Amino acid sequence: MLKGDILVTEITTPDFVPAMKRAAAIVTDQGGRTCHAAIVSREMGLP
Amino acid sequence: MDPAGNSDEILTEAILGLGEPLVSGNLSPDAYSVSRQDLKIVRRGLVTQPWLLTRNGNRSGSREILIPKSRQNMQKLSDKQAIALAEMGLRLENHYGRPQDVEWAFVGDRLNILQSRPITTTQAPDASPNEGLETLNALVSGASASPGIGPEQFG
Repeated sequence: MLKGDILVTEITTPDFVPAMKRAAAIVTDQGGRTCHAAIVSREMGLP
Repeated sequence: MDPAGNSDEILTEAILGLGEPLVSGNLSPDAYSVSRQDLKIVRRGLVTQPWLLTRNGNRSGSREILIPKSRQNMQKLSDKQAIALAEMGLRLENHYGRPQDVEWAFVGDRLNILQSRPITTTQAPDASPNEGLETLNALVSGASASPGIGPEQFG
């Protein structure tokens, strides 16, 4: 994962956070607006 | 409130069974939007749920079980339950003084509140400039869970 890459994954877990910090955007297969990936993305300002 | 959309609406997401797959994102939930003004349901987003997590009998832990095909598409909350949850959300918001992210569980008709904490991101970002994008064809489609803060972050 390089800074500015787009992270594409089924879901995210707390172990993903270092990679999420480098991502420019995050795409998941599953999950609603209150799942881990969504909450952390909003906190990081990532679409 | 809806942390990824309209702040005049209260968002409730729901799945059948224990809540862990909703939090982890392993299951996509139903989404119910209720107006703050008149507590009426404005939108129901129903999602097919193929399995649920349940208690592992008398042993510790939990296990996944398949949901019968005929019940996979059911509305997870009755309209009455969705409105009761929205009302509870407003009560908790008034109590704590700011919008809350609430975990809850219905057992039969009884509503249990498991956790309430402030929504960490309540500020809607400035509308991000998308000029030119409307002429491109989307490769995949899905629901937006986070608006981001605009393209300048990596510019």
